[in-house]
Amino acid sequence: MTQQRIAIAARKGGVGKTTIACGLASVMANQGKQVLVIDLDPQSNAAYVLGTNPTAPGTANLLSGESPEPLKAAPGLYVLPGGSDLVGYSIQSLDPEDLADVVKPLPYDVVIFDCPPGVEYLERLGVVAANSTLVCTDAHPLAVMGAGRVLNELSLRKQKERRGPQRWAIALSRIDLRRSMDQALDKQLAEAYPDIPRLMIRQDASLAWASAERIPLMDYEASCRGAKDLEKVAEWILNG
Amino acid sequence: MARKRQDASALFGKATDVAAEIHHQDQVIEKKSERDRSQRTTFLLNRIEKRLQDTRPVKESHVKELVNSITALGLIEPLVVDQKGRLLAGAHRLAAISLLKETSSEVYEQQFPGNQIPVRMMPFDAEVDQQMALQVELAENEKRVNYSRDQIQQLAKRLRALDYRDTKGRPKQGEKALGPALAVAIGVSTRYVRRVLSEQSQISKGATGENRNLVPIFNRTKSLKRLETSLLAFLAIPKPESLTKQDASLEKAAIDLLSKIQKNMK
Repeated sequence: MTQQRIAIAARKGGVGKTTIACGLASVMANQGKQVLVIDLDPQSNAAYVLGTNPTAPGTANLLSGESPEPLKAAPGLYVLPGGSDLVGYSIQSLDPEDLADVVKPLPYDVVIFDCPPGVEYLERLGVVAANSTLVCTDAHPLAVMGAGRVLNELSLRKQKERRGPQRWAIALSRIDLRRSMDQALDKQLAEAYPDIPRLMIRQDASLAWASAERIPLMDYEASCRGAKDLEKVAEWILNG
Repeated sequence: MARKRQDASALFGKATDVAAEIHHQDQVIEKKSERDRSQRTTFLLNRIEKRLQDTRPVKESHVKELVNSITALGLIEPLVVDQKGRLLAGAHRLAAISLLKETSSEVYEQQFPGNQIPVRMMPFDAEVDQQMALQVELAENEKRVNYSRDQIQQLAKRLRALDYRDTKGRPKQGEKALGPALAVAIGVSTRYVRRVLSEQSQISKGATGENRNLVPIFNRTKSLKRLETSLLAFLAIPKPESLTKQDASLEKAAIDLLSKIQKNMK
């Protein structure tokens, strides 16, 4: 199969990027795929969440022309840690297409880029390397603002026919439809971005606990609500 | 009493509007960083692409000499690449750097930490602008930066500190010869390097002044010669029989100047 490369971006911090990235990776590895999570976050949370060593050589080394060994978190589930090396000058001066070039030949069915909050040049490396993107937001205007910036950049890239994802969806994170803000979010996004699919990941304590206990989601609780929602996300990625 | 809340969708609407506004700023910043990237001075070794066409085969012996020189002095002349990191000039240097990485990775790490190779980036794409690419390559082959005698002395000092010796003839086993190493590094003949170095030692021994190889004297003589040639060429141009007043006075001035120059050069 062709390699699926998905960027998980939000611009805003704390909306659930890493939880979604690692949960999705666990779901897809559980479906028998070889999955690699590439953490672009200087805080190096993805490797931690998946129960591996967040300080091992990782994405920064890959971008510096080395071949770091991805860490195995579960059968078929691997991760390249982020880390503070990612804020160095040599990474900042990379061309946005550099990650795309080094990732393509890697022997994985699915590559998931966990983009950092705020740091645009790192986010851009992930987005440009991806062929689809999930833009995460939770039910708060600040998160919607961050997601809006990413969405605007995505459509501009496509319009200019630059390298980058051909399709993207909005991932509504931590949604609890009993709250009025959460109810309004979906409606508002449908109005503001009528052509972009919306995927809902409901509020689920299992997602938070799996991260905190550092166990891949499908090993933690394969039948939880979050896993079900992420299976739908995987379905969108694989079959549109 | 609880405060009455605003309509949530209106709040989200404001946020999407602001996102659109910030997007313009994002664009400006991206453009700027794109510009900055095109002025970068280093490039990752494995991201430097070979030249599209090799006009000159790589000479192995030259590569080996370069490895020695890079080991001692680092890469003095940056490689020249296009905007995408395609090599335009410096195939030998690139080959030497790769060989150095293979053979003595420690030295390589020290000279090129983080695999960052010094480059000069030219503002075009070699694939699109092949004519430019060829011009850069040829220019680089023809002209090298002229090192002043002072700079050559400085380099020699560094090499001596690294156990390079000014020996005549072939160096004994285990010895490293200063002259050839320096010559390769800066792209001049060994003979020239030796001459510069021996001048320096004469000056430091107290031999004073009138050395025609000193830079200012040399440059002066060169300029005078050039003037003389130009004046001769000018005077050789056939003139009409009746010169205007202005032309006649220029002619006279040229002759005067020529004779002054010729006297001075004697």
